[in-house]
Amino acid sequence: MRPVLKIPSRRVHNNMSSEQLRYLLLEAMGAYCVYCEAPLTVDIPYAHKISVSQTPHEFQVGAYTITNQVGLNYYRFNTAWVNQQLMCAACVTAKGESPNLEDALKFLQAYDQVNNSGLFNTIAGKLSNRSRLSNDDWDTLFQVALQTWVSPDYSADEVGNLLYGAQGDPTYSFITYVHDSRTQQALHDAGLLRLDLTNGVQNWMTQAQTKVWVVPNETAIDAWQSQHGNDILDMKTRVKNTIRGLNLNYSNPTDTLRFDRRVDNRTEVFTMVEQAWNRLNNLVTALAGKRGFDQDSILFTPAISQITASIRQSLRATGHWSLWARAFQRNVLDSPSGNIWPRIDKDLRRLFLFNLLIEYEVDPGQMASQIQDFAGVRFTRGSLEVRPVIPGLDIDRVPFAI
Amino acid sequence: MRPITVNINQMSYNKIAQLSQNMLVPQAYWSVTEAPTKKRKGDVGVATIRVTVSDALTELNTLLARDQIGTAYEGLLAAVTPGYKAATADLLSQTGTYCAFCDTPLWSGLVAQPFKPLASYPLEAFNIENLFLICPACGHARRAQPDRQNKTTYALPTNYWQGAPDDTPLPFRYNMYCAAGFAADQVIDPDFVKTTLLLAYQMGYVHVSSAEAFTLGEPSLSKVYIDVLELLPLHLGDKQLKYPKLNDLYQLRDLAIKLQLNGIVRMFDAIKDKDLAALSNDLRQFDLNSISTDAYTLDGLVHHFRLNNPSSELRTALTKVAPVLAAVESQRYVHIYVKVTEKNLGRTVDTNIGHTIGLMQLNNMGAVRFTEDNLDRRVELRTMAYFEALSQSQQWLRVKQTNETLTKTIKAPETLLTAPFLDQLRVTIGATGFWGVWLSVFGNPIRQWLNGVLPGTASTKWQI
Repeated sequence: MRPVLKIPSRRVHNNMSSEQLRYLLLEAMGAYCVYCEAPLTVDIPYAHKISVSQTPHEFQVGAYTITNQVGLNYYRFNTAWVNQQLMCAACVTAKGESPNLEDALKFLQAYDQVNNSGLFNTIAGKLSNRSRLSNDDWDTLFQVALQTWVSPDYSADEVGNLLYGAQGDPTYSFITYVHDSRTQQALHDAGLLRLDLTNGVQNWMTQAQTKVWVVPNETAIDAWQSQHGNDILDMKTRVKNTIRGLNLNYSNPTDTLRFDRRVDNRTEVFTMVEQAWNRLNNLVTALAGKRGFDQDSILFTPAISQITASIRQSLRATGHWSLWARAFQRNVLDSPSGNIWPRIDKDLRRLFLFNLLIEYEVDPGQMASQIQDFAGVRFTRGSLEVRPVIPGLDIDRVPFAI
Repeated sequence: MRPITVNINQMSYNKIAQLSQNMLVPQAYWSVTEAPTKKRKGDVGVATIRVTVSDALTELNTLLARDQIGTAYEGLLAAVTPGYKAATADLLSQTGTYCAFCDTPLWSGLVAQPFKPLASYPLEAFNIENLFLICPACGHARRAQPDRQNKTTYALPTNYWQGAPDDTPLPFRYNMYCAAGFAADQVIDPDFVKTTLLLAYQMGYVHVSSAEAFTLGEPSLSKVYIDVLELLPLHLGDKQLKYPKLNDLYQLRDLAIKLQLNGIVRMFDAIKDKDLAALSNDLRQFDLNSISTDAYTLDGLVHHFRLNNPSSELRTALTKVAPVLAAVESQRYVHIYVKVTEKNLGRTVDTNIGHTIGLMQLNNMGAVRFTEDNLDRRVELRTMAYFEALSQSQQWLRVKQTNETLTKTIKAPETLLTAPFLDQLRVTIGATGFWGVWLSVFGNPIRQWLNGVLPGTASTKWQI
């Protein structure tokens, strides 16, 4: 999951329509699903990070029996910017109504057992008495509900002030992708998938499929936890909650509806990324050492830049930024192989990667110069403009950013 | 409206199997045809009967024929399992993940739907010839049409191309249009609007339609600017056109010359060479005569032309351009979009394509409003794809040029750069969708190559 900076381009009003909010999200974050990273075209459901469903729900937390709605306060969080999310139809359907009020209260209970703040008894007491919760109480529940999953987005208001402490988690590091053969049953047992087992285990669940699966990056999470300490909920549990909650690994080959094609999409793009890397690598290898292609300049020669630009366009069209970023980070920066790559200066490789994945420069003068003679207008060259590859990428949380 | 071909023999979708599925419906719904009397083990209650989907469809059809649309009809309709959705997997694998009508790619949530809706044509709803992948926007836009009263003939992606020989003109075209409106309170990036629009003029990509002004302040429209800004990184360098009071008439003259050299030629074919020469002269005179404090608007420009007595075609041309330029100049709202329209070649297929475009409201920005599950971004996406194609076509020229240079300097193979570029372009086109847009921009040379890029494209070589 790519790290996202969620800043609206203008002030968000309480009475904004769901359509306006979604267009603001599109402007801020680009038309990609935040969770599965597929491009969004016309299927852009109005979706929330934390459920605001008003369906009645009765549940037990600790000593309290609570009869309330499934989600948090609809009137407070339905149009709140911090609770908006850009998601595809498949992710919305899979996510359903979680995280919700029950998840938040259970987390709050665990929190109180450690911190003894009394918040749980106050809030759960009010809810079970059916007395009114204050806005502060709802905000506490909202922040607590965010702590049960990991979120890729940093929510801020229109001037960039952090909202509700929702600063986003390092999801790019915490979540990784493996391309191997697994069964749905095994993924379910590992806590990475939610299967409907009411009719018993079906045949397709036990058949191995070679796909790209989403898994927690345990090394990165361990490193993070040794630095930050354990939170109330183990970070691995939070990552698993997210993967399982969104059912990111659900792949049913016998389903004729194919409503949820996320695993197939991911696998398809994974192949495209490999092929693109091979194209680039072959070209660099073929040109390395030729006149004008020494190890200092090769990545920034017109030939390589032009192929890089076309790869960048494919990235924008196919989405799945994290897949592209991981593969190119590994091949170019972390463990380069081949003749030329290890010999290129690391900072140059870093810059190349930055141009491919995060921001790139264009020379508008160069493009316009094609018609220079024709129109009799003189253009300035060399005034470069910087453009983001994908809008809304939070550079602070990209480990290889410069 | 990409021409698509479906191989029914290789499908696992089975109409008969879907129709013979059983379901339970209340006896009260069954009034017209003879009710299936056989009760089976496990049937619940006396008021419920077990019928097949096929039986239910026949009953629905009879109810429709007798115009008895009421509770029974609605209840039965709701009870019929939409088993035709089972064709989705087959259609996806054969024709790709694109809406069959608007060509938008969808990464999730695309399902097979009957073109003739279940509610109006129950007996045809499960026919594979009637099933298409229809995106939610097109699905909402057509509003349960065509119904029984609708006698219009529509062109379908699977049939309009049947029997057409190679080099047949494609029955629809994509053109970029520019609409000007007024009283826009928010222009996202005025410099961008000016520069991209003017450059698009220069290169002959923009058609002007002053008649079409949109309502303003739409967030959906502001999005177009942002994406276009990313996709078309062009501007006029140091010739930033800024004339708060139009006092810099030299720049205006430059603009007009560009229009003359590129834009107008493309827009108004009737203008002859001598008229262009006349325009050029006029502009020079205009330049000399123009030190006038009155010439603050584009109407002023036209006025000056009148003084210099240009041809009537030119006057018409400039009058048409004027509203758009005026909007640009006053930093008002300008909207660039790509429209898909039928060609008027007098063929039946052209008319039918026009009907389909109208049915799906393909050119209606925001035809589907305020639905919770989708946003109607079809026009936006098409426009973005067009700009993407433009930028890729320029990139292609540059790649070829670089490759030629490399061949000369270091004896590089002739396809060293071009082959990987084309492979990568294939990926980009596949993910961007909009077959017709790419064909329009790149033209006939790629028509055969393009057929292999999007699965299921019928292999007629269309003349664009």
